[in-house]
Amino acid sequence: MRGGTFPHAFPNLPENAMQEPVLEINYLSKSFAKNKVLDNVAVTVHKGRVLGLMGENGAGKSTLVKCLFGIYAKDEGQMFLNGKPIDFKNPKEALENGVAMVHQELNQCLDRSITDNLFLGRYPLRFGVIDEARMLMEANQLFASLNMNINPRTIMRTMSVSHRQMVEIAKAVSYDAKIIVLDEPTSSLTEREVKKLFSIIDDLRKKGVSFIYISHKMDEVFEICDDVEVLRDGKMVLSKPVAETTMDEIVSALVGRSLDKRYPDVDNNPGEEYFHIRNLTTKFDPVLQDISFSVRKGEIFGLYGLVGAGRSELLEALFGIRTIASGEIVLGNKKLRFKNAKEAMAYDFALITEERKLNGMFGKDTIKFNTVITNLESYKTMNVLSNRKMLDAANRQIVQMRTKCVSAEELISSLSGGNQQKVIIGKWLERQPEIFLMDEPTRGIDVGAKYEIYQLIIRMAKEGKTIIVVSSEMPEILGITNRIAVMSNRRLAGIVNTNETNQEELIRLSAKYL
Amino acid sequence: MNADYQEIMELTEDPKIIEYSQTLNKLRENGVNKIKKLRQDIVALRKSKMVHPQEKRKQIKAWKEEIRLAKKDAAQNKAAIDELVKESVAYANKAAKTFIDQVTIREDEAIAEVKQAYLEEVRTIKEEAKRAETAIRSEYKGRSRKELKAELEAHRYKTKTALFDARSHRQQAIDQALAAKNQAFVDHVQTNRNLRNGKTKFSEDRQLKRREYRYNFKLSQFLLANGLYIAIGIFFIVVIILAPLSGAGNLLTLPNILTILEQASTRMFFALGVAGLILLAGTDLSVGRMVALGAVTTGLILHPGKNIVSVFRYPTWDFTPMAMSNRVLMALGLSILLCVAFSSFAGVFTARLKIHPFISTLATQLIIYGLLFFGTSGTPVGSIDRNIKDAIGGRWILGQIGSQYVTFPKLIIPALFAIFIAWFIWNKTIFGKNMYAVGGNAEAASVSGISVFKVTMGVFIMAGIFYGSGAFLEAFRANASAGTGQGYELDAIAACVVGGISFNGGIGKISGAVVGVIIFTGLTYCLTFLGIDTNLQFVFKGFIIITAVALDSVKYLKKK
Repeated sequence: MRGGTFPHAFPNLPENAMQEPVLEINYLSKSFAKNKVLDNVAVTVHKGRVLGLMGENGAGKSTLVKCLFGIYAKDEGQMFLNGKPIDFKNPKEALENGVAMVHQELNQCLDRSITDNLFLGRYPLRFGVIDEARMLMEANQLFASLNMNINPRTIMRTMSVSHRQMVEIAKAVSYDAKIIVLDEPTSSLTEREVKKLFSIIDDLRKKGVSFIYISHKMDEVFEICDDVEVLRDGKMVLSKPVAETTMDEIVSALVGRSLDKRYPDVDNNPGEEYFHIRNLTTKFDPVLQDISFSVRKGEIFGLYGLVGAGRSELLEALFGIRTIASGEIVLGNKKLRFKNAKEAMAYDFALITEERKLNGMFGKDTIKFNTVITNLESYKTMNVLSNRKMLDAANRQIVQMRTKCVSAEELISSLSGGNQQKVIIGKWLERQPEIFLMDEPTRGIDVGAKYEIYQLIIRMAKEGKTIIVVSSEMPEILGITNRIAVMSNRRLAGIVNTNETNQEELIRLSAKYL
Repeated sequence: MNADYQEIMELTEDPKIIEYSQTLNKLRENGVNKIKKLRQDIVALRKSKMVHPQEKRKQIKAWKEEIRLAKKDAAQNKAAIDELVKESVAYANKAAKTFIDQVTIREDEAIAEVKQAYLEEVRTIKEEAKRAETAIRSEYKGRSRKELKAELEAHRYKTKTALFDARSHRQQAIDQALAAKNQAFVDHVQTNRNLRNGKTKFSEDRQLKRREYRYNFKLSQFLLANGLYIAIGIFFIVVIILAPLSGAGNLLTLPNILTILEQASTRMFFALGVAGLILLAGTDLSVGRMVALGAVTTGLILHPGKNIVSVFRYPTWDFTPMAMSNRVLMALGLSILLCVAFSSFAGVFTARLKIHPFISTLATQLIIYGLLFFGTSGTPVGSIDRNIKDAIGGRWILGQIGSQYVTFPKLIIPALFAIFIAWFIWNKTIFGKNMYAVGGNAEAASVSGISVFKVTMGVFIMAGIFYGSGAFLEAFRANASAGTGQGYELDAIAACVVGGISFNGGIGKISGAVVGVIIFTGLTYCLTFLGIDTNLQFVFKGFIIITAVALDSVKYLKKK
């Protein structure tokens, strides 16, 4: 699967050190209203080892960790840190006791600099005034020690998601933590950055720091973790050292049945080329240059590239929310020039954005609101909005996407990340789009749900819909597309047939214009 | 007891119900269901921009022909379907009753068991704890006090968690049982709905809603959501009791209530207008001055005879030659027009340049203020023609109670009308939903195809219309001058905020604004009635505002 290899053999700590449990959690349980998210879960983390924590959407991984940090109040259970009972009231208390966390949904002050974010809550004072010089020096030292090439003065908002994530990880390291929890740390990292992350983890592991590594990516878990525990429906169903288990065993534990393949058969039959992009150049920064390609009807078209290559920007330009300076977009025999999302939607386009919290979902509203908001015209009875029709639509999508929730009137903010993504996909499905643009659609979603979404994509392609998928996951883009366009530094580096290409070619192309 | 668990057949597995469904589906297949699908296809095709219009017409024609045939089929089967539906629903109701009864019995027994088990468990834990503690004490006899303390500490922690666990176990088991009971009823309604092909029965819906409410009811949640209203209710009761005692007379009389509603009527317009802006995470500081603008305009046009005030040093106007009905329409129209003009002015800056409404409406507030005072030199414009004043702003005589006349204020009617329109817009139109979207997450709204500019402008214009209408009516209550309505914005905003319309945007209901206005007007009236100084009244208002927002914020502080 993964091209690069990472040495799994490194000098071990003395035998007895490995047996010391740094963190012990016993029969932890937690429910949200009637939803039992954690049921009698036990977790043990040993000193200097990396524990991989895997599980489906809503299986309880994030909840487990949040209970540890006092963000959620546990219903029952005991936790021990180095033998002492603990019950953190808040993350700050946890941090002070040497337990740090890097969140899945980054909580950063985007309008402040990296340094400000690093020292959030613990600004060094000099004569009662914040010591900027010292902050800067320590930040530089930190990044140097971790081999990261980042200017601490940069404002967070100007950085890409992946760079922000690296800062978050550095921050956890800077707290001199004994245990660091990483929640989906590689979801926005490129291959190179993942390797760097793993080397950092390895360095720290040797120094006796333990990690809890929450991820859906089995390849990574097998590469970097020493032990693995699998949660399913709130229960711990597998707990073994990585060396004593196999991917198949883990997959069965995850979904309760064995999945023969991770990707369904891509057996759609693309038709004629009918969606043409010719010499597309965008107007404002980051400027895409001279992009030309054609997509066939009923095709699953992948878009690969490093972070910053311009993939999201390309989708935005196609959807009409990014200004085009020159070039043509032609659909069938019609020239398209969308000035906004509404015009694109009139031509049955749909767009799933990369960061749903930012611009994909309405966090203050219900599942029902989020499902119907782009298709309100269809829920009218005699020219007046009908609550019944909207509720039916919401329930329809909950069933179709198999969203785990209590009811359609639930606030979307109370769902897990992957379930939120399902609601967003359901919202667009209500419109029955012809051209579906997806930017990292399976980010933060577990194996079982990913498979469902892949099936959905292939089914839609067979019905003649065209899908353009941006993905940073090499196996995924090689697994479910017909062709892949690779972008490099805002230009199109090449288009390949999926079944004729491989990882090396994709990597080579993505570096072409760097 | 627990043997029943497997023996209760799910409603959805009842073979007779399954049979009914299948038969009904078959009957409906080429009739009503086909028509539904074809209609949807036609709508989708009409929307599509990719198909040539001629092709579209051809296809739609073909489909319409199919619909015609399907209608025949539907007509043929209608009688049979109706008959079968009646029969199947009757059966389903009977089956459901048995089902629900069985589930209720089973779950009630389970709950009783759980409660019993809990008591026993607690007893056991406490006994264990005592025993363990004595053991520890004897073990640590010779050792340092510190060690003993640490050990006892750890032991107590274990006991505490064990008790806590037992408690939450109990609660969860009970919750599960209650959920199962509720689910049984939901299944019942759902089965009936499916048999009726999705049609819901009003009575069933109501029952379901009531059950869900009772089931989800939590005292703490209820208090949090309605605490403010309960507190205010108590306050009003206290005041009502105090009033006669302090010699001011009886407060809870129909005339008093009607007067409160009359005073609330004009305020209602302003609150309804500003509510939209608050929903968009903004505010409006110019409400008061807009009221003056509209009221002065109305006062000038409806003045009997020649105006006493000259506007901008022009010779004074005399509107009496015009027909009264025309004058009224002109006054209303001009009042609305002027208010909309100024609110759009502010709106453009907010919508296009993203200037916070606080700033843009602060600007219009000052501009209007300046123009008005300069134009009229601050002089009141005099009273309105008495006939029209009574026709619109007067009262209807309903009858007599004892020696007092009971009169109904006419101003309440337009206020009710305004409430209905606002509610309709907010809840039943696409524009209303878009308001919530833009207020909740403007970025996401933009990506979802909503024009943030249009929605923002729409909200400002809508507010202007409400202000203009309210200002027109305000002129009927007192002689208008450039100083009319001063400070009205604070009352309007406070009313909305007390009513639950969040300053963060995207959250709130019209019913909240209405309740807020009535509370504030009622409060002012009651306090005045009791003879409390107007300045002290501000103190009350301040406390109510902060309490309301605090309770509201607690609701949204994520309780994890």
